[in-house]
Amino acid sequence: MLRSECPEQKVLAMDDLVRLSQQGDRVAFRQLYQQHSGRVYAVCLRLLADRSKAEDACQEVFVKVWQQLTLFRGDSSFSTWLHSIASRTAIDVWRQDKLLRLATEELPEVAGAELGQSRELEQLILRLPHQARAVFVLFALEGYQHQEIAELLGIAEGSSKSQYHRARQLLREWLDEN
Amino acid sequence: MKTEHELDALIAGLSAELKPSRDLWPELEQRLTDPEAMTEKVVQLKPNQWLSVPFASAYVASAASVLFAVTLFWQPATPTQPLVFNPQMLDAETAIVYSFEQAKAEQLASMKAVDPVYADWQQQLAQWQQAIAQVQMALKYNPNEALLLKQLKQLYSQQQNYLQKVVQSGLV
Repeated sequence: MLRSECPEQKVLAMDDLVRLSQQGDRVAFRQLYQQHSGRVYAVCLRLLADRSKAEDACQEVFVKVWQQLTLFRGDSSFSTWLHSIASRTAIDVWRQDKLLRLATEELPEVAGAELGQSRELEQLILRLPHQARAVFVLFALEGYQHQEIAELLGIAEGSSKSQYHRARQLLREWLDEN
Repeated sequence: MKTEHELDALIAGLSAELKPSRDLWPELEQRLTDPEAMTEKVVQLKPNQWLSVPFASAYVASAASVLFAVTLFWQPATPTQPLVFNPQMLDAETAIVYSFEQAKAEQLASMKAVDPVYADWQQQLAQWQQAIAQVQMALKYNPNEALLLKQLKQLYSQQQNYLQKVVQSGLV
C-alpha cells in the first residue's frame, strides 16, 4: 500500500513548512509542493490516463491546498490531508472526463517517459477501462476500501469489487501478451 | 497468464511518485500569487483585440450560451452551501464546452508574449470559434448527436493545441 505516513524524521520539517505556508510563505509552500507533487501527480495520471489532464489536476490540487491551508488543524498528518484533496480532485476530473468520453471514443494522450521503471505495468493501467482503472488505482495503489471507493465514485460496493477483479484479470492477460 | 502473486509483486514494485514531464510550479505560482489575475488578463486581452475580428460576435454568443448553460445547471445542493461544480449534472455538450473554455481561459491567462510567427493567432482562434459556433448551432437541432459532439471536441482540441503553441512561443 502506498497510503502511508511520512517517516518520523521528516514530520518536524513538514510541520514547519505547513505552519509557514499557512502564514502565506510561498517559498515554504513551494517546498511542500516539491515534496508532494510526485505522489499527487501519480494519482492524477493513473486515474485520468492523460498527461495534460493530470498536470491540470495536479495544479488544481495545490491551488486548493493553498486556499484551504488555514483549515488544516493537524488532526491527521498533512500528507493524509493533502492526498485526500488530491484523490477527490482527481475523481472530480475523472467524472467530468467520463461525460466527455460519451462523445468520442478517442484514445487519451497517454503519458510517456515520466512513467518510470515499471513502465509496462503503468502503461497497461492507463489502458484499463475508465471505471475499472479508477477502482484499481484507488484500491490497489491508494489504499482505499471498496466501501469508500463506492462512495467516491457513486457506484455500488459490489460494482467496485467486480471492477477491481476485472482490472486484475485484464492486467494479467495483457502482461502475458507482452 | 501471470499468476495473482506475480501481479501483486509487480503492483508492489510501482513507484509511489511520478514526475510530470514539465515543471508545473511556474504556472501554479502564478495562480497562487493572484488568482484573479487570470480573469483580469483574459478581459484585458479580449475587448480591443477580439472585438476587432470578424467572428467576435460568434465568440461572444458562444461564451454567453456557455455561461447560461452552466448557470442553468450549476446549482448548490442546499441554499446555505457554496456553489459546487457537479459535472454529472451537465449534458455532454455543456461538459465539453465548459471544460475547454475553462482550459482556454487558463491558457490565455498564462500568455506573456507571442512569437511574431503567431502574429495572427487571434484571427486563427476566431476561425475555430466560428466553426465551434456552427457545430453548436447544429447541436441545437440534433441534441446529443454523437458525431457532432465528436466534431465539437475535435475543434476545441485543435484550438487548444494551437493556443498551447502560441503560449509556449512566448515562453522561449
